[in-house]
Order: sequence, then C-alpha cells, then structure tokens
Amino acid sequence: MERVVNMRVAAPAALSMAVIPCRASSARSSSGRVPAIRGAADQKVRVRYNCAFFQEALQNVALKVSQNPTVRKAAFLAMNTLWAIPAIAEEAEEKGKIFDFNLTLPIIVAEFLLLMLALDNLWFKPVAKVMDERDEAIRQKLMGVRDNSDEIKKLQEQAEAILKAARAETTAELNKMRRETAASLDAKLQESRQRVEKELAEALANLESQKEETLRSLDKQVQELSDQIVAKVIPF
Amino acid sequence: MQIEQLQIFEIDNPHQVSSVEVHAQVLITSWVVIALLIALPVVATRNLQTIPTGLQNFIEYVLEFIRDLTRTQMGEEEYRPWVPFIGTMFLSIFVSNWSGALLPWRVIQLPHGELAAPTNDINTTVALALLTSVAYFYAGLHKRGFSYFGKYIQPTPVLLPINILEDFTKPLSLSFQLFGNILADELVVAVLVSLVPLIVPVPMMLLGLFTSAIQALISATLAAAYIGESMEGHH
Repeated sequence: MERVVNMRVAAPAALSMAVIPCRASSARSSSGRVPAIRGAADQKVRVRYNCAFFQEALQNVALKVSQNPTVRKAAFLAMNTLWAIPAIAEEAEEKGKIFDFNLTLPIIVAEFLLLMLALDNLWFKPVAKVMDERDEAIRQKLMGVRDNSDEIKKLQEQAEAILKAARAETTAELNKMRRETAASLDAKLQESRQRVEKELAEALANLESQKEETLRSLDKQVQELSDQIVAKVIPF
Repeated sequence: MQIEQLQIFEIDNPHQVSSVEVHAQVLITSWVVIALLIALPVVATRNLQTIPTGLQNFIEYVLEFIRDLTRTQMGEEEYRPWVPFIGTMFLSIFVSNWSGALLPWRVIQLPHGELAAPTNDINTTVALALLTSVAYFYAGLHKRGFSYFGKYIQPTPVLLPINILEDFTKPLSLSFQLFGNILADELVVAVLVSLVPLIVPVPMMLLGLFTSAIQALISATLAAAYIGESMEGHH
C-alpha cells in the first residue's frame, strides 16, 4: 500500500516515528497548504513512499492496545482529544486572512506569563542561587588569602627586628672587646717602653761612668806616658 | 484493520470556543515549546553542584547570557527584577523559532492547516509585543510615578506627537519584524522544497536558523532597552 506524503524536511522526518494514518479511503486531501496563499495549485512534488513498514509497526502496537480494554478506552479518549483540537482549527483556517486576530492572542499572553513564573521558579532562581553562592565563596577565599599575607608581613618584621637587635648587640660587644684589648695593649706598651727607657738610662749612665773611668785612667796613663817621654827626652 | 478501529470519529461540526475562534495549531506548537522549556531546567537542576558540569554548565551559561543582556540595557542597579521577563522572552522566541525550523512538524498532518513555529502567527508576535509595551509602561510608572508622562515633552514639547507615535510604533515594529522574518523564512523554505527538495533548500534553512536566533536576541534586547529607557528617562 502506498501513500502520498508531503514532506517538508526530508532528513528529520525520515527518522521520526510519527503517527501516519494510512487510510485506504480518505475524505480529506493530504496536501498541506502553504499558509496564506490560497488557491495555489497543488503542484508539489509528491514523494511516493511505501509506508507498509510503519503500518506493520503501528498494527502491532494497536493489537497490544486493543487487547487490553482499559488501555483501549484510555487510548480512545486520548486520540479523541488529540484529534478534536485540530478540528477547531478548521474553522479559522477557512478565512485565510493574514492578520487574523482572535482569542489566540490573550491565550498566548496568559501562556507567556505562566511560563515566566514557571521558569523563574524552576530555572532562574535556583541557578542564580548556586552562581551567587559560588561567587561569595570565591570572594571569601580571596579575602582569607589576603589576611594570611598580612600575618606573614608581621612575622617578617618581627624577624627583622630581632636580627637588627642581635646585630647591634654583637657590634657593641665587639667594640667593647676591641677597646679593652687596645687599652691593655697600650698599658703593656707603656710598661715595656718605660722598662726599656730605664734600662737605656741605666746603660747610658753605665757608659758614662765607664767613660769617666776610662778617661780618668787614660789621664793617668797619659800622665805616666808623658812622664816617661819627658824622662826620655830630657836626658839629665 | 486494527488501526482503523482506533481511528476516532472526527468531530464533524467543529465547535468554536464561545463563538470566538482560536488558531489551534499555534496553541499546540506553543505547548510543545513550553514543555521543552520546562523539561530542560527540571532535568538540569536535579543535582546542582558548586563546580558545574554538562547540562548545569549549559543552563548557567544561558542564565549568565540573559543576565548580561539585561544588565547591559538596564544598568547594574535595577536589572535584577526584569531578568525573568527578558529571559522568558528570549527563550520562548528562540525555542519557538528553532523548533519550527528543526522539528519535523509537517509529518503530523492536520485536517486543515499545519503545524509550524508558533511565532509565524501574527497573534503570537503581537502578544509578545504588547507584553513588552505593558512592561515598559509599568516599569516607567512604577519607577517614576506620574512624572513618567513628562517624558513625552522631554527634549522639546514640539516632539510631543512623535513621542506619542513612538508608543504605537514600538510594539508594531517589534511584532512585525519577528512575524515577517519567521513567516517569510518558512514560506521561502516551503517553496524551495516544493521545487527542489534535496540539497538546495539547506543553505536557506541554515540561514533561517541564524536569522531566527538573531530575531530572538533582537526582540529580547529591544524589550530590555525600552524598559531601561523608560526607567531612566531621557537625559
């Protein structure tokens, strides 16, 4: 059994499992109209296609459904409602105006407002909450990190102060020691100088006395010598 | 045949809803769009974690995008309450347009008319535009009270008729740009497919995806801009 089906979007439609009523006799034409172009000739390319495969699948489903009486009634009601709705569309489409304002407009307004409420409560509020909490947590962590660096700076300053004090102490000690040793060295130097001077003086005095003595002895010797010379020179 | 037993009696005298008509195909497709838009966050917010992955990442990105869009147009202090409105505007138009282009609606045959994007109907687009109008009026009045009406004589009183006209042209232009874009894209693709169904319509379809996404962004941005403008006043 073949059936003429007009397809607008080839690829997705081929993949979809839509309900394709394949009725042998149909009072309704299958051509979908391009909206608002009335009286356009039905010169569309008709894609012939074998929907037997789909029919079989649907038959299996239908078999299962029709064997269970409650499911059958439910399916009956569901399809009834589903098909009733487009029937309402029939009447409006007959006019074919392009600016066809009717009850649809306030219904869409109502739907939009309800959608706004629903999205606000389901999407915008929870997601905004999570995002804001995350921002807050990140900000807190950043503030925490900044506090740590203050502490570190304080510790650093303390360390530097200690170092400076220690350095000052050691230099003071060093200076003291230096002064002490210098003083003691000076004292020793003085002492030895004095000793040396004393010894020098003594030695000089010694030499002086020796000189005196030698001079005196020389004098005596000179006297003797001269006496001798005189004795020698002057014979009688 | 088993199927035929299940085929129901069609209602042969189509009844009207209280003698006013309804474009049922628009309602059907808009219900599908709403179902998609509600299913996504329900699935994605099952298990919200601090470090997001996968679907949660995606919905956070979308929320961030919408917030950024609203904040750019309205300023830092007062954008928060309007995020749901602008977000719903953007998401509903975006999903409507892309569902019309991507989902195989024509496979489901209706007795009269056909299923397509809900935004190809003038009712939907005018509904959204009127909502935007009401929103920016409400924003202006709520924020500035009756001095809001001072904006009509703002730069100079000579421009009063133009300012009043603006209140009509804003919703008109919003509705028509969306309606025209989507309907025209559908018509062109339908004609191309009826002529050469195989490869040739595909670039047109891709262009249609791109422009319909841009239209969603434009509608949302303009709505936010009008609301922001009426809250801050002409300075």
